[in-house]
Amino acid sequence: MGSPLDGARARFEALRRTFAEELPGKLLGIEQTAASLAEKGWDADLAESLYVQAHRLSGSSGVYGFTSVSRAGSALEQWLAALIPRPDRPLGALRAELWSLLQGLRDAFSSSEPAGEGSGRNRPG
Amino acid sequence: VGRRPLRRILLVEDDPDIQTVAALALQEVGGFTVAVCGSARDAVRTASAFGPDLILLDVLLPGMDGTTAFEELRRLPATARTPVVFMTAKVQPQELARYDRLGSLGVIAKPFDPMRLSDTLNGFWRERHG
Repeated sequence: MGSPLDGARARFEALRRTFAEELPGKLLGIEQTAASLAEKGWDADLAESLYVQAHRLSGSSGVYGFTSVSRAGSALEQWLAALIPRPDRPLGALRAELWSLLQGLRDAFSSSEPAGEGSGRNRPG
Repeated sequence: VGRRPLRRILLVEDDPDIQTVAALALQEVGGFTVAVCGSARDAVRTASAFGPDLILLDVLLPGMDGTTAFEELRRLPATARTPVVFMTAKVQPQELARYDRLGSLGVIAKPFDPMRLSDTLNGFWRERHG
């Protein structure tokens, strides 16, 4: 019979697998918000929404062992945190920086290997 | 208060993924009784009835942020002296100094290791209560 800690580890692993399955959808949500922001031009509400999505992705992916995704999400979050109070740079430059950060997120996801067995199988094609 | 053990924790976290894993860690690894709130306003409403020994409080929350919630909780008689630990990715030196000035018991940086979360809180608790 396993210890309570073994039971907790097994449940963490199940949660991590679920998170891995949901991660592509979270990334897609970020990409869609970013695309709207780039298309419409600067919009404070969209930027705030993207900031919250990046913040959540960074925190949750780190807790579930997706360290590189967490770091890439944090980079996007920090870029937005600096930009939101003073969005005065030319839109073209902002778009280029945003695409670069999103590419970093895609790359991190493609190469990520979460720390638990059985996870990381559900990457986008 | 003496050496009484840490038993009841109010977890305030809006991200469902972190909420789930933190609650599991506190209940199953730490053996704590946990109440979970998804917003600061919910925490302010819930705190008095639950009577936590410790409040684990996210900083970036929708509506009312964690530091404002801290001040609100300090105004409630039931939680005026309840230790608060912030759980946040906002851990720049000036941010840590702010949590310290507010009177927090400690800070847990996100991302955290769920298997160690309860030990960390017990460590903060022992520092306070001997």
